[in-house]
Amino acid sequence: MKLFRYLAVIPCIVFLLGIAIFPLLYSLAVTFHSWELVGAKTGWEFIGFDNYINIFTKDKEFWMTLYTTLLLTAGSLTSEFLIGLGLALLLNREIKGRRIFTTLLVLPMMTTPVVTGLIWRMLYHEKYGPINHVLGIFLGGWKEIPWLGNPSLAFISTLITNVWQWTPFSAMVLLAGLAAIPREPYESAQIDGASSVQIFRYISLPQLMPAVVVIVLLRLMDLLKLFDFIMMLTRGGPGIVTTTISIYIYLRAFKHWSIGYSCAQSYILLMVIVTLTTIFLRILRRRT
Amino acid sequence: MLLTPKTRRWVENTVVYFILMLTVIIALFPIVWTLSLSFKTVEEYYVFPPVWIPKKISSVNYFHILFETPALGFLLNSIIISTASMILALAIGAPAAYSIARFNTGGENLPMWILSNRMFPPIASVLPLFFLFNILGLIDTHPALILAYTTFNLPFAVWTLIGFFRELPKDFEEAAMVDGCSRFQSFLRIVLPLITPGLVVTAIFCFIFSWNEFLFAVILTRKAAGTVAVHLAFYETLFLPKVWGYLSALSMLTYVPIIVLSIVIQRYLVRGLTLGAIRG
Repeated sequence: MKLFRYLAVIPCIVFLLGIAIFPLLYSLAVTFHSWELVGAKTGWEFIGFDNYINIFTKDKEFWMTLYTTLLLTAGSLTSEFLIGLGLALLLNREIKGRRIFTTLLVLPMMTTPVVTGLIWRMLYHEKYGPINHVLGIFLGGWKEIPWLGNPSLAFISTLITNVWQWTPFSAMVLLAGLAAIPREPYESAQIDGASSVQIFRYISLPQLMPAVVVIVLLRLMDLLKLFDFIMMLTRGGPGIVTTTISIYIYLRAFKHWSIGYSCAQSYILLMVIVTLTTIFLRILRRRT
Repeated sequence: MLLTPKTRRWVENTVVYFILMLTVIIALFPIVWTLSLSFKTVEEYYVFPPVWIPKKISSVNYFHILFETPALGFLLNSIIISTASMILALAIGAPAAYSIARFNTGGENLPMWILSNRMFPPIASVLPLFFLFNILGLIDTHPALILAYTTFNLPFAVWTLIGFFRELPKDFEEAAMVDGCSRFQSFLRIVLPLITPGLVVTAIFCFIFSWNEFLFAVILTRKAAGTVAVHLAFYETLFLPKVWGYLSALSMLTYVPIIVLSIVIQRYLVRGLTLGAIRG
């Protein structure tokens, strides 16, 4: 009878080992070689840790784009969470038409990131984009704000688009979490005269921790890898202001064709993601 | 000003509605604007200030996209690849999730290891996958993306389904086994039908993830098996206002299946996220 339980997981393990793990190990091996596809010297050559040393000592853009990515991740996650929390609290009340609201609010999350990038690129257009048009109405006079042209603005614009797309995720998970909390603690607290803030802090928040863990982990993993929509929105520009680490690795790989080096960059990124995710997992699990 | 509890509640509710309406407007505005643009003719979107409601509703953009560009082929590819990956992820993932949920197979490490596969940045896996598929002659074929997408759909499916299986009381399977069914038969005939909402939610999410994916598609395919995301990327380099009409039409075509699916699952969505995700 125990046979079934092992047979049931074997296809899963085999599949992941073959298609996910094996390529990863193969590329790890590649990182210790120099493998140029173009240029004077093509072909393999074992060079030990040289790729990694070069990344740490000579590749300024790698670390700059990594920093950009971390900044974008922190800003986006915080905004998504706070706004999502606010929305979840509002939606948790017994209001009519709640289903309609949740159905509609979920739509941005489902948009293809490529589509999101392209649509918002149209929206942000200085001359023909509706955002400047609407702002012009409120600010009395047309202002050609270069949302994507100005370096500082471009970062903010990217952040806004990202928050637009993913806040519904936090809102829905937190709403599910809130809905699962039993009524009694609330009622006793109200009888005891606790304020809304106290109720939230001591009753709602602790019960929400599992949901918070889910949101932080999933979003962290996704934000650190951000590629699609930024590529479409700004192509990493202007300059490298909005270039995330994935975009940088991608553009460089398909410009220089140094496969060994690019694989090494990917591996360092992988290590960063694994480390950060594990740290957050530990911190949050301890608080649950 | 003295507010009676009733008035106060009325004011609160109005404010809540107002904020929610505002949020919905912000959420839907980009999509609605694109929809409107997709029906405009060139004169109307290449214009300053922008026109909101087209005076002439024209389907010229859709006509161009569907019949004068290869978009239809790309859309078809997306459908085939997303459906196949969804089925594959469920077929492999459901038994595994059941085994882990019921018998704790692999203890704590197995589920964590399966989930960790989702941590890998696509950029790390895509180069080696490219070489692997190149050797196998799979570049620019449907199986390439189907397999590639299953690498992240499978962990997701397992993780979500574990939550659903854990919610299911054991009585049904045990009753079936007492009646003479094998474990496998009871899984197939009793457990799976009972878990249908969970399967539907997971399946649709897998479909959506595959439909929306870009990096693997753009590197592992060219013209034969390219997805609609790849085709859209073409407009990034050609981003002049005069093609905005076509771009909007194509965006809407890409978006419509997703909207339909998310309406279908919105019933299960909140429940699905609670059970599947929070269980961890």
